[in-house]
Amino acid sequence: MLKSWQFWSVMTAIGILTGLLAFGFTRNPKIVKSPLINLPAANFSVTELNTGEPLELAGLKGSAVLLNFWASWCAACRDEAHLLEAAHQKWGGDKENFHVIGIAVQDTVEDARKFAKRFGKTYYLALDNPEGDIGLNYGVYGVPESFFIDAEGIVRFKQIGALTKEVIWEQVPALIERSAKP
Amino acid sequence: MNRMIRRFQIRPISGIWMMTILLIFLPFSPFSVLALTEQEIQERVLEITHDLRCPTCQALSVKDSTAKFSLQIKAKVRKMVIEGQSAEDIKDYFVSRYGPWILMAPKKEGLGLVFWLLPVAGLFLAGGLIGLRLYRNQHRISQSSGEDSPPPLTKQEREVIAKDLRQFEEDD
Repeated sequence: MLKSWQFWSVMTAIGILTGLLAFGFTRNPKIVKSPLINLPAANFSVTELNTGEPLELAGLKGSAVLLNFWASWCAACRDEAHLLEAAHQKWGGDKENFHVIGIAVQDTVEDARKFAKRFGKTYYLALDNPEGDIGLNYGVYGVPESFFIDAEGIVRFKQIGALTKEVIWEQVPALIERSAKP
Repeated sequence: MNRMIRRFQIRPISGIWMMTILLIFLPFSPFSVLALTEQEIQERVLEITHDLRCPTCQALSVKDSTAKFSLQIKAKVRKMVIEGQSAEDIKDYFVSRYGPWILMAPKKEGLGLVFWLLPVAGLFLAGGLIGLRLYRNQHRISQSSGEDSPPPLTKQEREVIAKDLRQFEEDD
């Protein structure tokens, strides 16, 4: 028969473990706290996949940026492809206050181009270098991953996994609004 | 005075002295890695990547993984080693990008120190509890054995026994 203190020790241990488990279930595994949040986004220079137009992230200061890491071999990237294009059409395009940039990682130019054509991507697309420097600088460990960067060049939000309409429709207007404030 | 100045006057460093100074201080300079052989670079890369977690694997270090992201991390580490960066600088770079979970073992500072000390504290606690339990059991046995054993013989009783024994010996 367990003594009183032994009984309560076991009950406390079970309580702590149950609490931790319950806490884990309330967390969204796609929202991982990145050490880059609220820090300046790492600068990079790339050339556009189809046109060869050069781009430097620092040159986009003053505009909100949705930086998306993707790959042609990534299944989840197909799920979010039309949403990214829709965001570009709605808030970006000719407007200068928002840009969508897609960086293909661990990919080939041919495959990336085919993927972009198939999903009708018209926003700025580029390829990470073979060493994966851009991805490593952003702490990318899988695709897709997306970073929401404000006009000051500060990372405000990171999404791991495919973007959803809810996330884009919540984050992008907030980012543009924040960027519009003096 | 002039003699004093002449005495301590620094002569232009000759080529031999320059080489000697370079040989002494080169291992401590930031460019010391230039002197590293390919094998030494490899060893440093293995040592550092052993401490980094493969981002896409389960419980595997970058060193032991052949995943594409791990290969890119290995290449980056190698580049940083060749540039002369220390192991701490390289690990700090990855922690600043991925967070502390990229390290296979938590750092021995701040909250990480708690994770290092917790198992040791657990061992001491368990040892203490076992010791206490053994001590109490031992104490209980000696106490109970004290209760059951007969009281020590009095002087009178010992004399009677001795007398009886002598009697037996005489009879034999």
